[in-house]
Amino acid sequence: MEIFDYIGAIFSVSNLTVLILATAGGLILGALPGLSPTMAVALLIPFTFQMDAATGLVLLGAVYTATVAGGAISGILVNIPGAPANIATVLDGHPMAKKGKATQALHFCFISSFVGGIIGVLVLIFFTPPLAKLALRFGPSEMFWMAIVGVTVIGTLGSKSVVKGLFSGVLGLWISTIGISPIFGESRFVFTDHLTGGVHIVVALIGLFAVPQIYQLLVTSRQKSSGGLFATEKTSLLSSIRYNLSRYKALTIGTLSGVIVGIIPGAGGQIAGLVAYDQVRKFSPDASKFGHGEPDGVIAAESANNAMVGPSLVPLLTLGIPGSPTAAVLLGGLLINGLFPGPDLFTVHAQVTWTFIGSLLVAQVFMLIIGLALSRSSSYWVMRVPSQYMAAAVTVLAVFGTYSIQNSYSDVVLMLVLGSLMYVLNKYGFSAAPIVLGIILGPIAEDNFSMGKMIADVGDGALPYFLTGSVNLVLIFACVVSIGYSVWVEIKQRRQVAPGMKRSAPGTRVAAIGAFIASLVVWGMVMSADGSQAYDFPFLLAVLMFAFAAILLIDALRMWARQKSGPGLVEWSDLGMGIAVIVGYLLIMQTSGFYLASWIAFSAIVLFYTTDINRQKTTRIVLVSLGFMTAIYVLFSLSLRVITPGFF
Amino acid sequence: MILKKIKSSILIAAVTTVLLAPSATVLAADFPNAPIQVAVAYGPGGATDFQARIATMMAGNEKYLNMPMVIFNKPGAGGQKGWNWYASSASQDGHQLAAYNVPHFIAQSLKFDTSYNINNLEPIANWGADPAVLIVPADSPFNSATELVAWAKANPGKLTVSGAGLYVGHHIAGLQLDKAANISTQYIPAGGGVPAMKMVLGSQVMAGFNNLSDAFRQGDRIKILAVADNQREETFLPNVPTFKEQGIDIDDSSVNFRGIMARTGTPPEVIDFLAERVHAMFQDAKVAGKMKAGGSPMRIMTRAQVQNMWAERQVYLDGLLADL
Repeated sequence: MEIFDYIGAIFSVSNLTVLILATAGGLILGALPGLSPTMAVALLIPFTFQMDAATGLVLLGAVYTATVAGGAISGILVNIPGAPANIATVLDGHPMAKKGKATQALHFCFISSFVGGIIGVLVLIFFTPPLAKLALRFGPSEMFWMAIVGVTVIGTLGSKSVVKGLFSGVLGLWISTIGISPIFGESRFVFTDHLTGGVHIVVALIGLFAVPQIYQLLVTSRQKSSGGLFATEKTSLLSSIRYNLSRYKALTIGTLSGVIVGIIPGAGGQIAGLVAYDQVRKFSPDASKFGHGEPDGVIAAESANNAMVGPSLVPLLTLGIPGSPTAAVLLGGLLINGLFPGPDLFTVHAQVTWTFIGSLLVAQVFMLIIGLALSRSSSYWVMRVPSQYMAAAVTVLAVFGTYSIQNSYSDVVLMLVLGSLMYVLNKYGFSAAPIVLGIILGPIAEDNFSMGKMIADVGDGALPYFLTGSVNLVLIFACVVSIGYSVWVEIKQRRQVAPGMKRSAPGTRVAAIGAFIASLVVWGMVMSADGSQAYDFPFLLAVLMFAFAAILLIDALRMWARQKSGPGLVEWSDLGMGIAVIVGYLLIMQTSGFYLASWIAFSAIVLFYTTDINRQKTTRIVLVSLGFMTAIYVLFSLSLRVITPGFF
Repeated sequence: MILKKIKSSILIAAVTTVLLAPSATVLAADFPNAPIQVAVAYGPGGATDFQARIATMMAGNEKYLNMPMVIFNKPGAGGQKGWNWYASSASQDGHQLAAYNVPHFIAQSLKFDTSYNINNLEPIANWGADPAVLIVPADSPFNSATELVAWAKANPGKLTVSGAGLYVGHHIAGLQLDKAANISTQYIPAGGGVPAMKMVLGSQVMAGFNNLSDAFRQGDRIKILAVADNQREETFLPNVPTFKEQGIDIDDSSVNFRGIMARTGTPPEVIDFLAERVHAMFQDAKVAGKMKAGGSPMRIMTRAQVQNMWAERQVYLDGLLADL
């Protein structure tokens, strides 16, 4: 095997140092909201200018691997996925943490990431040529069906009811159409200047997951006298390993899904975890356990998103076509070092290429060791941070993370507005995961459908173009199976409940009426537009939204009499308080800059929500907030060179 | 209780304001006094992004700007998103610059309702020129631009041609081909140069326009039929003829010029300083070495040269796009 001729070079002192530092740093960066793997790799490229080619690539590869795994840490502990790739991990990872199994969840996360990651890199080493051929067969029609397979998963993700899940998914698809259409060049649904650039996926991710969590933390800190979120149970590493490996079914499904999604160019590792999660649940004898802290969910999702890393480099290294957004950035890293994708990479530049690929394997080992070492202490400490401090820290991190994506104040505003809406939506049984998945899949579905239609129009026509070809047929079959399965499960569940026993969940009426109004608003906006072909896809979405909202409304009407009016679901006073803090934060930010505003916001949140304030506590708050802001400054301004407007 | 909290919050706010306020009023004594941000209107990893990162890598050297240039990406809608933001919201003190792509931004400003045009932007210097090339899959029956045109004439409207997006260089080259050869092709605007290339590699389209540098790197996985420029590209593709050599009258109007620009309203002395130093920085041997290694053709131009080029393109594109 060729790799063995070169693998020795990885163990040079400089490469090993870089590997360890990059893995540790990547785990931490990945855990911060906003600093997605793509961002982390892009930010590090200039640093590789000073290194020799192999070391530079070792750095980028290790950071890629580690950030993907690191995103699970914040997901499990705080319910905020560090990157889109970790959304599926949160669905069962955070419920596990709530049950006191945070350490165990982190153990599973790193063990599964390790298994998936190693297999993914082995696939890269042994199967590159045949897989590259497969990757090229994904044209517009295949990509369109791939996105539709993703859409069929949406309805079952994390929502209490399938219809609410589908409605949320379509809402996400619609949000993705806001801004300038890439295919038609037209501006759509831009009713405020903040929306001209559309909604960036990571901005939506932070808003939809982090902001509701902030409100939730504030509610918690008001209700409990002292901090301490959940207890943590002690678990031995050995028992975690034993249990994790005994779940070989979940591991296999996760790894396979990750490998397959990874090699499809442009599908993005972002959906690998979600596809794996959905598969594992469908194969499980008791699907109802998922979403309540089922370890299989974490195992499948994390093995999938790390298994994606190796295969996403297959089309990159052979054809120069990246398999994921992060791989796209890595391409820049290769080119800067004079390494052109293609056969030369494995002959002329064999030393550098094999050192790079080998280091991806070694990086998995370091990720496992460092990750496991961090598991107990991080879960122990994070779970003990008083919730008002956690809320303040998440607020400031969310703002800096969002801003740093594309240096945009509008993004910060969007993130906070979307998040505040999401807090209310959460209370009425809608969840964030399907909305984010909709935002990811929207452009893939729409752009590829439009391009495919353009190609088909001058060829054999749209029907044969989209409905023939072996890859198309396989994907269509997958859609049918996926939908059929969901319908079957829904019917089975409805039969199990005796007709007279049915009771409506609280808030059903409000949810249905709200969804109905929202669908009418979207429909109205589509109809009032000029009706060019740029609005074909949004029109379809408006019809779907209306249909799902109508189903919700009919269901609610049938239950109308049986629903008791209970206490309100939303803690309006806390929401109002939260909004007041956020508006104040934004105002101070505009006039005096990010750091001062963030410091005041941090102190104000902690101060208001700390009970029995006294001089000693005030001093501590001031010191902690100063320390926190210093850390933020070192990280964002000094290390990552994010330049914020205003002071400093 | 609450009152006490409010009191202490106000106290904290007041103290900080007093402590920190003066630092905001420190005036920019000499330029630059902070790292310079450079907005790139395309995503990380794309040709513009990675060339911009190389072109600006020496900025921190005291010979040039003595401050690092920091690239940040604002991708979307073929560049419109980033440039709209730049021309309307970026600072005008020279600390926020942007990378430009001609003819993209000029064509877009003519076709769409954008907040930018050549009158509210100031060129600083040009670092590269990447001509569009006509490519077909390796197993394509076409071996020259002439053969491709002949087929398109026999099958009107049937030839599918991919490119990076609407009104970017590739699209302009496609429009020029239609006009010069009197044919009608189906242009497929992919969401970037990489997806456009993928469609050619996978034979999902019959042909494509793409960047010379990216096409060159594909080696024998594709066939490069013609260069849309006035002369051949001697460093990377000396054997590929231009369109003109094959009897199709296409000039260099679609060549993708890349460089740095500032907002109109930036103080003239700052612009002059940048124009001189950035131009010198592009000529640094280290920049040239990395560019060559990455297969990126350089064409360094001064501010005055770029001003001329912009004005010429504006006139030409106005004519070309008016027919549509």
